[in-house]
Amino acid sequence: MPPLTYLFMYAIMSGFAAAFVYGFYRRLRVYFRGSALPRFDHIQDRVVRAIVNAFAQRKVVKKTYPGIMHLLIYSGIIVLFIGTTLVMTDNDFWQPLFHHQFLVGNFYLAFEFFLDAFGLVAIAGLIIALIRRVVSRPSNLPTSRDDIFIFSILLIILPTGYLLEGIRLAVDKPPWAPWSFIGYRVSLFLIGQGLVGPGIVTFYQGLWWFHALLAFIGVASIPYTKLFHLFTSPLNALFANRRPKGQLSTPFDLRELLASGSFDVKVGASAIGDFSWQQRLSFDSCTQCGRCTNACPATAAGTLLSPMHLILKLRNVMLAQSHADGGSLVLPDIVNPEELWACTTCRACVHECPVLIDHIDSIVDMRRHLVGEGKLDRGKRDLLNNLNNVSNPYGLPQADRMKWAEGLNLKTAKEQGDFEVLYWVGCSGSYDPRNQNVSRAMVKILRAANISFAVLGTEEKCNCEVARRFGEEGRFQQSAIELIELFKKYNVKTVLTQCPHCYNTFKNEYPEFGADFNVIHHSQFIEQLIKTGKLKLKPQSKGLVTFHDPCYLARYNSIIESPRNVISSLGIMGLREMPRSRENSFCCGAGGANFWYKVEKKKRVDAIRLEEAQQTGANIIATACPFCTSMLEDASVSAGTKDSVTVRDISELVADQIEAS
Amino acid sequence: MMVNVIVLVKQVLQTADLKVDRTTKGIMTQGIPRVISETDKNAIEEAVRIKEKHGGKITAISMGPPEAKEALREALAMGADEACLLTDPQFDGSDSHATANVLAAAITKILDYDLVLCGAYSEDAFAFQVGPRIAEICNLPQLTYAAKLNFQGDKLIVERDLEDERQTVESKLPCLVTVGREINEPRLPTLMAIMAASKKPMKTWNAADLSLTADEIGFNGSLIEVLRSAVSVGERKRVMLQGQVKEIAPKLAKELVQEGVLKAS
Repeated sequence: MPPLTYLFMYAIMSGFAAAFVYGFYRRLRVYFRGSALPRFDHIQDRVVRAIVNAFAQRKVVKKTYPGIMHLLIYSGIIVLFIGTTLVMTDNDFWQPLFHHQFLVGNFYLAFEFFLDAFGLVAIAGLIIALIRRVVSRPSNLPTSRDDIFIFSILLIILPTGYLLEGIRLAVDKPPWAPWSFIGYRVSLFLIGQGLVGPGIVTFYQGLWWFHALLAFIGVASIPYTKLFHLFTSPLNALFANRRPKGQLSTPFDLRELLASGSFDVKVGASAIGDFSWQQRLSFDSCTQCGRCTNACPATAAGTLLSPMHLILKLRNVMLAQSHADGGSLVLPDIVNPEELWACTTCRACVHECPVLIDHIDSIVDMRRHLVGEGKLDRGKRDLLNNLNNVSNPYGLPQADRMKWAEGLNLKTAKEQGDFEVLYWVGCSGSYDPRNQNVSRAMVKILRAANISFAVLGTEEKCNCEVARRFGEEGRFQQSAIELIELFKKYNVKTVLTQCPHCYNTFKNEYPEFGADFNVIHHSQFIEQLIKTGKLKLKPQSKGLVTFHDPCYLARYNSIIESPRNVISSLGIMGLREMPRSRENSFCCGAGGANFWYKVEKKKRVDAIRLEEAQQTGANIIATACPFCTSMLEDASVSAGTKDSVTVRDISELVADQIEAS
Repeated sequence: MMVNVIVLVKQVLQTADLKVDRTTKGIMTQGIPRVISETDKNAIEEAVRIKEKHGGKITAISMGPPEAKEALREALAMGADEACLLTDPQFDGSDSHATANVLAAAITKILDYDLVLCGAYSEDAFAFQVGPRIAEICNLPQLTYAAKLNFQGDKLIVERDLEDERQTVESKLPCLVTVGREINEPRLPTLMAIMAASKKPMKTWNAADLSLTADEIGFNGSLIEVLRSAVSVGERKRVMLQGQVKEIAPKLAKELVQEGVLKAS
């Protein structure tokens, strides 16, 4: 190359570098406008999470085809970028400064080999990606201007790199040329075709500039295209909230507000400026991979909600308004409230997202705003009114809470005084006729195993899991404060529940408000009773069972094996798994308060799940959640399949087989 | 044009939860939640919408026991600016006439208003009386069963929903309007909003504050004397028709004609 080439190159490069820095700054400015600084608590855990999720691609590779595709492009480009930077440093800085080079000897040979190999890796990844977008076209994978740009520029930069290397090797003919195994073949081809003539040097210089400029454009484009996820995904993994999966954010502490007497806090989000800086960063981390939307039950049911498109809408408003004062309203015009109400908070989206976006976090924040405005339709008002007036979502009198237990002679905590386990029946177990049967099965089990237990009776009231997910934070916290007080009064040490929603809220959300007791789900409890021999079952062949994993049990709380172990001990013919099971389970459609109001949809979520269950050939759908039981049984009645497939809670199956002592 | 509104709020027992004692045939009121009567919620909502559009001040008034403060606090949380509880043991036993006397006295004392809004009826008594009676006592034009309100200059245009017809009437201000459930969907305040509303001013007035004499209020001031209350128990006939739809449909029609539900053509 001519003598001043490198000077020119660095001058031009600094221009592109400035564009890169400006683009970077522009986006960071949007995140940080008017809000608190990054979180640096538990920094070690955060760094580990960033390494595992961003650099080691933990979630990306969970989907085989796109996972491999991404891994190839990702590793190829990273190795080439590092390699090129090393060459630059060695030639243009190390050598002039220290009169010494480090890219020498065997290290250099290996270096050349690896660089050539990883170029191929990246090209292979790009070809797979191209086939995916052009030929196989999976659903919810939008191809944008960014994608075309990225394909074009990489598919020009990589081959021209090989061509440049080939010309260099053909002209210089160094003895180590075969180590650059692609470039070497290119050089042999050029020599064989008689292309290495006097004009080759000029051609080389032109091509070199072309290659370099494209590379600069590529790097400078990062903060202006979806390539920015190179930075946003590790940053999001670093700064995302560290709450337990089942714990929603806490926008205020009612106890503090009651103490201060001031209730003047803004709750919820209706504009971009109302989200935290980390939520804004997370919107910008989305790579439009579509995994969330493909897993979403609300999308499958044909509601207005698609988690990916929701996040993208928020991002577009955020970036378009980068010069405004951060207001940028999103409700109700950009985001339709119906999208938010369709969310069952099943967490399939969050579970899938490779860059750790917490869709539910933002959905609940927007619901909180809607609830704060108070403009709700009758079904939603009824839910809140019922919780306010009679402390249960069914709207049935508190006095009727123990009707299910008539004739059972249960002792309340007040009467019993001293007991091992508090059996928390829950609103569904108390009021819903279908689930009252589950409660009676539980009593049978508790008595057969000789457990000292008590119930709260008419002192029990909704723990307001549903209110929190609905967006009525104050109601939830008041309920938490009152119930924790009541549990303390009766010296409750262990709470047993058949409801995964109650379980999750007691376990993950109540401790923040001072709860200090163990929580055990009935699937774990029964598993222990069987394991320790306290409960003796007579094995009896009931047929084929499939187990429907409740979201709040499996995905939220990783309770996956316990219900299966219980089922296995029943002596059934076999346990057939549905394609979507365990932590990848598909929602029944009831979560996130969806049980309590109507959402416009094309197909019911429970009907979709019922079909999936029936395809296993099982004649019993076992589950471990009152709402799943209600939903799937309703679906079965609607589908007219009630005679061929029955929906049972695992406790009912167990109670049927208790050996009389 | 600012519109100052007085809205009347009644706290009632949640009627859906009321139960009848099988032996005494009396209504069991123990543990039944107390709520704002539905149409009064519509009245509050309409007042808040008027304020949002035209500005002005909303005063919520309730006559009732001290617990009725809860209802007023909810009205404040929905958007009322001030509340006024009319409570006095002497008010006990008031029928709609005596209740109207008390509320009218409070309205007269407040003086500064353009519009009085209230529900067309209360959910417990269903008498449809209090609104019109107040209008008579205060000498205000009354526009009942409103399904839509509109201000035009200093006039109020009201669409009245009279079941089989819809009437549009106008009135000058001040006037009294009673509203039905169709007029709007009342907003539901959050618990936080209700707690925050405890900062808003709430007055309490008794009979003396309102210069009411004993013969105007309570049992003495009432025109109606309740002699006896009974529960009507409708027994179901429990007739079951079985068979093909084509066969049983004419049978069902015949039964219904016999019962006088349908007219034979």
